[in-house]
Amino acid sequence: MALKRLSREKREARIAYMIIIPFFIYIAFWNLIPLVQGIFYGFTNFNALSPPTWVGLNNFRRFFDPVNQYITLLWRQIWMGVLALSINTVLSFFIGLALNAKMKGRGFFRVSVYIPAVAAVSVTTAVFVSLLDPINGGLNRFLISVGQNPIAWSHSQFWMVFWVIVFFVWRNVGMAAIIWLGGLQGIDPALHEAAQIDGASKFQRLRYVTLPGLRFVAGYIILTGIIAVMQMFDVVMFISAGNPFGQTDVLMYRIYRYGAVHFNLGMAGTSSTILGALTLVFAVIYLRFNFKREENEHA
Amino acid sequence: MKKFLSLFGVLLLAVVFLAACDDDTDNGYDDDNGEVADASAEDIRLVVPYLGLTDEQIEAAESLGEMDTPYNRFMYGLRREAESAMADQGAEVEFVDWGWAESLDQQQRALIAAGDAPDIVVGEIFMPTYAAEDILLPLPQDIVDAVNPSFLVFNDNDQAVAVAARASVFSLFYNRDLLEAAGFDSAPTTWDEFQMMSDAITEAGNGEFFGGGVPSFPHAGGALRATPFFRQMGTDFIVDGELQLESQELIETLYFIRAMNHNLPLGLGNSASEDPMWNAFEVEQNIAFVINGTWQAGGAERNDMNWGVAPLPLPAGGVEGNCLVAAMYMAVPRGASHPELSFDIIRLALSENLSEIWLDDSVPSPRQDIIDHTARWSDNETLAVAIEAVSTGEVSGLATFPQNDAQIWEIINTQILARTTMTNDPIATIVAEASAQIQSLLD
Amino acid sequence: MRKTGRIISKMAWYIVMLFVAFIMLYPLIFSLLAGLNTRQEFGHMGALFPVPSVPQFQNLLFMFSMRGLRPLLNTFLRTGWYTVIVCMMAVLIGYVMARYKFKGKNFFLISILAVQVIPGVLTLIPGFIFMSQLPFVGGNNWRGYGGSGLINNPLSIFLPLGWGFLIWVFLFMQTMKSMPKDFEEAAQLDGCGFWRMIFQVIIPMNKPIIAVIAVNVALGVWNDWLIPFLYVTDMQHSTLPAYLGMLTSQLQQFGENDYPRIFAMSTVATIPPLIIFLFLQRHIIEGIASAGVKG
Repeated sequence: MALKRLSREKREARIAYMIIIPFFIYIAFWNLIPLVQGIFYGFTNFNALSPPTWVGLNNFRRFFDPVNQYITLLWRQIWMGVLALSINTVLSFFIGLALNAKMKGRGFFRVSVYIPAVAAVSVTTAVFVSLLDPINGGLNRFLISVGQNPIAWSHSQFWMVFWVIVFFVWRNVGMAAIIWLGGLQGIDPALHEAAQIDGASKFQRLRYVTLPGLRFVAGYIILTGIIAVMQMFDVVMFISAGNPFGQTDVLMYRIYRYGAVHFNLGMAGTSSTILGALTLVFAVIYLRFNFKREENEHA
Repeated sequence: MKKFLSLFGVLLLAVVFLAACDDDTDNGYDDDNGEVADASAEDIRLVVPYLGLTDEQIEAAESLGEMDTPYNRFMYGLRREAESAMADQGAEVEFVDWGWAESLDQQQRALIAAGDAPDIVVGEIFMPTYAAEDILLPLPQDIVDAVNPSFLVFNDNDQAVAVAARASVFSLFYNRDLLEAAGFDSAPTTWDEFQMMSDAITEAGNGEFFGGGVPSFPHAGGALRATPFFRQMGTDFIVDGELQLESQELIETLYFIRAMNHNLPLGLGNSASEDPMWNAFEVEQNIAFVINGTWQAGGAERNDMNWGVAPLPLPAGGVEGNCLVAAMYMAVPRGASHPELSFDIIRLALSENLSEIWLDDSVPSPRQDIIDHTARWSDNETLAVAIEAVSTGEVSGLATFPQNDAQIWEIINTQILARTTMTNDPIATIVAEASAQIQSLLD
Repeated sequence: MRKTGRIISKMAWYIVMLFVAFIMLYPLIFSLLAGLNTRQEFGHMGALFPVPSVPQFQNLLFMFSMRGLRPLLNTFLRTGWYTVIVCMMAVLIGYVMARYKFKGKNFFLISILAVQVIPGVLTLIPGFIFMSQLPFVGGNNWRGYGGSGLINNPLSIFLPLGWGFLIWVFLFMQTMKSMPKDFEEAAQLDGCGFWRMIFQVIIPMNKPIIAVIAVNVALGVWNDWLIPFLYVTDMQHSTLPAYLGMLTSQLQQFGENDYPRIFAMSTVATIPPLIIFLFLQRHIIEGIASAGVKG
């Protein structure tokens, strides 16, 4: 083969295709067929016992009928997700800042904030569940021992949302803090020195040197965060199971139950198609917004 | 092109290497366990969920010293007998643990949908749905003849397709000591008495012990125990295909359940886990009444309680009502590889020496000859009540909805029953809101 | 004056960080302690720190019994395999996407990002059906019927490659873009071919970001319980988290919840990923720093 005679560009394209296409074919093989099947089920009634029957757009109509609560659950997924994600992003930023300080023992603190991300969700939630037990749980026993009334945590939407978000933040804050920390260390120290010489205060340096230097990292945390909270269900499933009476149920948890527990694969397909499309829209809006700002600043 | 091919080659090699690796470790472990990795012609292999103890379950039971409970004796005995019976026919049987209720349904349906059905399907509340979908083989006549018809599930063509290895009903169990502490010496017979006594015991207990009420667990365990009370009022969630959610009787029953819940410690009656309630009754012995299946007698006995049992109390002007519970239905799905062998295992589960084990747990056996032989069980009062209730065929399991059964029950469990005891919302609002959702699932 | 101010702020830092570290470590302390209890003792304890009266070690030791060890080994194999294959994929595709010009690059980039938003649950059951109907495996004929396909086959927890992993291609590509090309160009002038370039220049120079990818993939795979739980019913061919999931679901159904064993097993299950993280910790922060410079 006369590889040398090919132009560099052609050669590069050739290598690129040889690398990318086998991987893509392999991945498509395992994912695309089930995806098409899953979306197809969205237009059928299918309970996994008898073959699917085509119902057209019926399931979509059902989804948007408020009586079936899909919209309520979608909305709850969004607001719980936004709440969890914003608390997590802000808190992790400050922890990241603190971990960036040149202090003795910071290695220990870095490892300790990361530890929750290491343990499996199904397991760490068991600690929460055990603590929240209304009668034998550690928290209520503690409340009684200090002379307070015990709380039926699982009877209250507020408390269940509270604990779901506490767990979410507890688990994810370390990971995000480490990413922030990486971003902080990537900022050229010369910039800080220059700003200090110009007489910038600590706060001004944070605002005009640190924050702009973190744009990529922030984008990464928020983008992956949006995707994660729009698909968040395991935390809800293990901590509250949707209790009290479905008041902490979210759309993704219902999709999980319909898809893998109750075998209403039609509605599971419909709902996840809609949820996926919506996540895509959010991600695109966020990316557009982010890119536009960047372009403006570069111009 | 060459490079393209070589890359594919590398990938392929990696996959083959991995496969080989895994096989190696596989055999290594099998040898260690002393299992025979057979390469002979014997490749009939049956997969059966739930009906036999797995090695994990045996170990767990041994560590608790519970291998000799009737449940474990049945499950272990069936495993051993099935293994030897299948070996005689040149087959192997593997008992797997897919849990019970939802996780069991999940595994079985996934496999059925995938065209790889297990050789026997097991279950309780979802078995009528399987039957209605016509995915089960009709039972051979000898099995149908051997058991009491109340233990069978029929498909839409009135063929018997599933049989329960055991089934029971609910009774009212009580702690005599706690009743005496509040000055009572006999069990209540009416709802009013039940409520009055329970209130009095809770008051006498002053936070130390409680009267007890009707559970409203947000899952099938709650629905099963609430259903007898609805039936005593002459209603149910669905009767003859008509939703009864907003009927006056149902609403009144829900008010009763709510009132009774004040006699349970905070969060006990509607917790996601049932265990704390049984624990409170038989181990900590700080609640006076529980509503449970007849096997509760065994638990009370093992914990040396001063206990008693009575039929469920009746509402004023009510009828007797109960609900079949713990029906361990077995059936052979249409996709089973060797239906005859599967039916043989079901025959073993119904064999006299295994089936009579249930009597030790005060749980009725499905065998007609055992039911007819009254001397075998009449001295056990708990069991006698259950056998009479079940064998007359008057007691049925949870109501079944014509479609989306599991989703509808989820709404009933969480948004009607649990909500009734967790909040003070007007019952009419609760049932109206749930009813709208359920109606739409039935359309 | 200035000095006391610094001492105070230093002390404040330590107090706050110790508090944060305590919150972060608390559930692990709890689960370690709880794992040393007997089931009966733990059931009635209800303490914030369940210190056992007599520590019990049999739950911890169970992990190293034959039946506990096999799922542990499977988890190691599975984690290792996916970590290696995903890192290779990220490096190779990320490199060519960052450096080479070719038609359709945008298509690949958009597909990589777009598939990230597809809810995994959508493909869970269809994926299961697909696995069971693969032709020519597990007794299936060419149409995919007659057998069980890859279901219950030990390979089923190794072969599928979820497209969520493609996000790491994106991260590596971003990092490469922010790297200077000097070394590569020098190597190219020396006549360095593609594979030599990858193994002798790209991988050694990007160790930190590869560490980030490896740790994240390894953690994700290590903790994934759903796929092994669903695809493999024989726990001896499954993984530790699936085994834990099975124990959890089993114990919620009858008997008292055996929390101590679950906690003991989970404590052990946390140790290997923790060690990985301890070793790679420095690289991880460096790696994110290198990805974050320009973006």
